[in-house]
Amino acid sequence: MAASALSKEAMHPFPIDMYAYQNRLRDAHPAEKMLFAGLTILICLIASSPLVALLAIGIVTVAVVRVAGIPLRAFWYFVRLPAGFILIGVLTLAITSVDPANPATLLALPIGPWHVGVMESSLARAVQVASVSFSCVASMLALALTTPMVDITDQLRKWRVPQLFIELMVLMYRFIFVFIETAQAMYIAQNARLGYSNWRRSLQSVGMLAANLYLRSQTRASALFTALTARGYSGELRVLTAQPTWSRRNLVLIAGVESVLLLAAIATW
Amino acid sequence: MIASIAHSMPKQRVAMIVIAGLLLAFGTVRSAHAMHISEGFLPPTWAVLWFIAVIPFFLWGLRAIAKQVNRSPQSKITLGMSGAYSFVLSGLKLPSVTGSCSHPTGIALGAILFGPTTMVVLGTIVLLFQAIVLAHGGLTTLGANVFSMAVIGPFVAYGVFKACRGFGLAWAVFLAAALADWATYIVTAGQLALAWPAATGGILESFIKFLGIFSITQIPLAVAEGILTVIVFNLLLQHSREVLVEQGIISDESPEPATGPTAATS
Repeated sequence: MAASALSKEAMHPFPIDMYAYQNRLRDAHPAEKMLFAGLTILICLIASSPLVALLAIGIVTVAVVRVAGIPLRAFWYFVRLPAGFILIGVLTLAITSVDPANPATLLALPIGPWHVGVMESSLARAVQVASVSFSCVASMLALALTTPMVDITDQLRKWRVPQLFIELMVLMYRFIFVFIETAQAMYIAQNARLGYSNWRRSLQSVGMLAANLYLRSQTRASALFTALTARGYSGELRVLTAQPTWSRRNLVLIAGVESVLLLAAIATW
Repeated sequence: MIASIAHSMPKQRVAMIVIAGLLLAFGTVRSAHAMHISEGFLPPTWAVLWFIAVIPFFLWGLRAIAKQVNRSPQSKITLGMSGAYSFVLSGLKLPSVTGSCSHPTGIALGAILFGPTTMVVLGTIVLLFQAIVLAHGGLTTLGANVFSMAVIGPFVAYGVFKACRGFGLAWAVFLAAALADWATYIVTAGQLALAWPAATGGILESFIKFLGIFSITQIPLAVAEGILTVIVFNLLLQHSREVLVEQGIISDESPEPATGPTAATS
């Protein structure tokens, strides 16, 4: 059910990236979106209260679905991506060694000389960490789903992040797509020849794929260098950057929702 | 006995329901990147501290790369490609014994092929992309993830690789990959334990809990990744020995690895 409804997401190697290029906030100033995501994450982390986190998830969902026009199902699918880590993590926090005589102990199972179970405080902590974590994931997705990587690197350039770092980011980002296509083609060819019919063969096939991809990447690098040199490359990649404009309406909106969140954080302190 | 607990008090019943719900949800999610600390999981103090911890390594790596780029402008392009390769490598599906798929980290392969200082910078960008494009890991937890996966992992891999060359190339590669994975997960467990110590047992109890949880997936995964890295390395030796020699990864006269942990799989 989920697979068919989200076939668009499942087909694209990076569905989050796909939405970044086709949403209603695509042309908004990247710094506005970074400000919104950054402030929301900051308030949620510092408040570390489940209520503030729930409010933030609500605000972010409205921003992503109503303002940016990203389908709710898709947004929800992405929010659930890190759920494996978060749930395993908070389960580990909830289940702890307990003293069965303590009235705050909710559950105690004897294992050898110890008691393992759940305490009121450990359960509260698990709920708190899970809710804060999901609210931060949602906030980060609000940025990731609306801002293409090129806009982020442009913005980092304006903030004087070392040029070398930015250039490596740009090169890597471009060639990730090339290599993924290559890897997919190799995988299909291997799979068609029963390369993944059992575990041992699968391991051998993945190994062949990785080795071949490494050689391709190095060949590709020298080919690109030759092509760039022929066009006058002397160590710096010059690119035109877009000139986004600030929107007063967006800034007022961000200020408004962030103050609501901040007030909620202060109220639950 | 569990039934008697569930009937005794409403408070306990609530706890049972919450835990059962979490377990149920846990059963339906796939744990793809178990070692990435996800966004928002670390309190602000720890998030900032791990950023501060990785800054010296990052600057060291960036300076090393800048020197290399000044010597030859081609190396910038090669590094970009290598970084893109590292990203794709970490996204390949690794067949696991249990049937579900997991992902190799590629930390050791990257560290051996590109050097550990370079991997700090490339690994940072890989983790940044994974956070933004794949929602694996996070921006506030980037410092912690860079520390475990782009600093500790590559340096352990490289150190083990150099130290174990005497056992033969295959064993050196296998141990580098497996131990780098374990070092990474031990550091991640430590980071989580420091941030969230247990109420009674403190940091140690929390560390043991996280270590135990990770060990279920990470011990077999590290062995699988070790074998995979040896397969990749052997193929590179067979088909493009000159590339490895050229980049100074192996010396020209080192013997072919005929035996080692992959003897069973080939």
